[in-house]
Amino acid sequence: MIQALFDGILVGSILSLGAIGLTLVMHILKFANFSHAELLSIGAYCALTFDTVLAAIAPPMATLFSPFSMSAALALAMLASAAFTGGTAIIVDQLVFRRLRNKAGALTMVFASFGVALIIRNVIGLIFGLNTQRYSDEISFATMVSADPLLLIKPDQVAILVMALMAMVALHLLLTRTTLGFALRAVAENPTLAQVNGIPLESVVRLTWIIGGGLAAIAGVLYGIDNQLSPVMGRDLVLSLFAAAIVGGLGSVSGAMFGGFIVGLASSFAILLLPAGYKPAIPFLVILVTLYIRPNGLFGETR
Amino acid sequence: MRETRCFLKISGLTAGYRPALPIIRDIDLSVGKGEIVTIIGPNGAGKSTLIKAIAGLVIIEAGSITLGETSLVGISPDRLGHFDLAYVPQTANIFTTLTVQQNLALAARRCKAEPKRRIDSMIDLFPILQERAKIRAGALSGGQRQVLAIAMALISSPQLILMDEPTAGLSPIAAQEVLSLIRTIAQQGVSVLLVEQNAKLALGASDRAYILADGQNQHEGAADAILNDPIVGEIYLGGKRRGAA
Amino acid sequence: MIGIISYLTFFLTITAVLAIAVLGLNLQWGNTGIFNGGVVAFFGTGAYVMVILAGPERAGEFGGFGLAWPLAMIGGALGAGILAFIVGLATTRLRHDYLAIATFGIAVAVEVFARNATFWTGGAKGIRGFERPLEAFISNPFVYGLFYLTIVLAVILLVYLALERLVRSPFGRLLRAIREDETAARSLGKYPARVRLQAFVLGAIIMGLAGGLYATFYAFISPQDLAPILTFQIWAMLIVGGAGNNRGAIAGTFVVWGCWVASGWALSSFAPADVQIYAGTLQYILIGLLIVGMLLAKPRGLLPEKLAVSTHSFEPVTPAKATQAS
Repeated sequence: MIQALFDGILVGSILSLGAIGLTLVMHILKFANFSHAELLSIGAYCALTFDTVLAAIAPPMATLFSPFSMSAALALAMLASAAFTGGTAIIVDQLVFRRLRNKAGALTMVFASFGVALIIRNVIGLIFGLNTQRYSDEISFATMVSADPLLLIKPDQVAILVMALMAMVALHLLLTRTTLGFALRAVAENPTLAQVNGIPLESVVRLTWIIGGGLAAIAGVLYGIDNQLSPVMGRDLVLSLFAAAIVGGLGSVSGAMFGGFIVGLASSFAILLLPAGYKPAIPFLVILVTLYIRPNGLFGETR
Repeated sequence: MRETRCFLKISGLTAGYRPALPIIRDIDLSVGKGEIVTIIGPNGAGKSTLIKAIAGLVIIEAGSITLGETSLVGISPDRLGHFDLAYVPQTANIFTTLTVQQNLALAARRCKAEPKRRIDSMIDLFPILQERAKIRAGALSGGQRQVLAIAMALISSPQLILMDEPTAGLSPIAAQEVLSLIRTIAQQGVSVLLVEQNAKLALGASDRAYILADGQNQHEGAADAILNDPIVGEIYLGGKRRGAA
Repeated sequence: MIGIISYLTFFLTITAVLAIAVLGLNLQWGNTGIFNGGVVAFFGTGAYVMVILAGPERAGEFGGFGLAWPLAMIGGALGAGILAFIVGLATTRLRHDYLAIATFGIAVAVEVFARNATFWTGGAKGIRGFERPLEAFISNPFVYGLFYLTIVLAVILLVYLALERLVRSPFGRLLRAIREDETAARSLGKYPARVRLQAFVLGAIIMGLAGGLYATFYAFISPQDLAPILTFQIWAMLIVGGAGNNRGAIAGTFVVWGCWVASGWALSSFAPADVQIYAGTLQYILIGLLIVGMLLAKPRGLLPEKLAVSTHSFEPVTPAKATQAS
């Protein structure tokens, strides 16, 4: 029971990071981006590359911080990957979504995002191979925090939770303390008014992609540390991210954060009741229940 | 009468929301320095479209808009500040999810010079904003919202302010206060172009007025002359009589 | 010669089955502007329900009702329709991309169910041993192939004619009106949410029909057949052919399925062995590029819609953007 609670919170923190970016993009660009989860894959694999390169140039950086299976190289790689992924998101936007934004409806962008997801996912498979990989081959052992009820926690998992919360706090500060953050919230609320107040929409769109891509990259790395890297991790996570965004209410950052934890907990508790094979369908049930009882989500505005 | 040299000059303006579907046609209009000009007319006359055209928010098919020596045709709405221009939309003219202070900080962001001092000067000018600085703008009263919206426009020290129905939805007292605020602004040399539904009230505070119907100029004149003109009432009741434009 | 004809029969049968699903999608996306992110869910439901209703008895598992094939086909189609109704009821009133997300979700859920609910679906091993209609009487597999192709072609003709009638009927005009301008349609006293739900369910029924024909053809259904790539392929077919045009939908199916089969064959015949394992990956990229490329370069497809209500249908102009452009 308590183990499911911990696992749910852990997975939830990763989903939250991904869902925050997704909800921002959905709110500001007005379309459900099915390729958002692929940004997690890009981030995870990009960090793997940076990590390998850094470890090769400066071997001391690859020393693991015991008891964690992380190194300074991986921490740096994660930050570099966040920047790279944000940049990639902008490039994809310029190549595909911006062109459609100017001439087609929102659903055409949804449509295109499926195609983009398919391309990114399989190009990653082509570059990095179809097998799963890990950041570190060291086997990290779980510590038994409590025997009855059983609770096993790996040091890495605590680190993941702390890093995810740090990223959320950083975003919160950006949105509530800086005029850049106000500009983003202003465009989310009323694009025309934001424009006549001197905010160029396209630059806020770029900011949205940087934040969304950056958070997705961090989420992807944390997911990779906790599980493993796989070219199809985006496919496996996309529905959970949408479920988190919908439960929280589209466009609500705090909603997406809570939504992530709710979906994480729902999935981890569900396997206490259902065979593990049903786990991938849990986010769908969460979506369906939300749409039937509270279609605008916990924090969403009525539309 | 104030200085009558044209500051904003519009001629032959045809514009609308979709290509080849103009809402306003062949409009001529001018606003002098420090002058308050009101556009009145029945619902659907194209009043809001006209000032949106000046703000770069609709498609301009033909005609010219000049402010001083600069053409405003085809400007991007996020560059209004560069032309010493500010626009206060009709409804939803403040960011309700941000605090009052955040609204001001955001509006000041478009000014390169001394944003901090500008926020302070707005707070000095409108003490109510100081009192409410930390609360969400969505919690303000109707009158306070208009004050905030006007402060957000004034913060960039514009030469011309476009206002879409600033008294809409306000109590008569609040409406009077907003209009007297507009007069104070104009006395400092800022030109104001208003769209108003409440013609009597607005004309009382304006220098000149234009009457718009069916997307075209119908009549133009000094505000008090129009106020006392029996034809105005007729047009308001839906009469189609063409004025001497 | 027989070999070629036999292969051609096989190819045509599959293409025609897929084309039926594309026609169903065209009713949803092309005519009504409903985005279905989980075509495979309705296709798969149609297939499974049909096999369970008419299929063999399985020890300790659900099924073996021995229903006549045409009745089982109808049952499968209805099953897909009911599923669409459940999802649609919750989403057709909401922001339009909710339906995209919910349908994508149901595709995942249906696949998970098919894989795990062994009592109902046979689990990962699927359901085998399905006796195809009149198989006992037509023993020659070549002749049977031609016979089954005829059935499939008859069904596609029927669906095509029905849809052509539908889109030209007042209901069809209503669908397009809602696609173009939902607010205007509502102000005329129509209920866009209800009409969208009807079109969504009807489209899903057609997809269910295609699924039933597919399972009948292979006499076998398993979770493997519910892979998400099928949804992407069916979209690519519609977008290549031209959304809104039924003939375009069928033409697009031929083009895309032809390319898919040809690229698969080329990769397996000419690619070096170490590239072989990436054959599927390359093909998926191809489908992705096809979708994105068509949307960017030729959003109306090869055979564009003729019955458009307005010229603005795919090009809504936002005032601010248009001004910048002018």
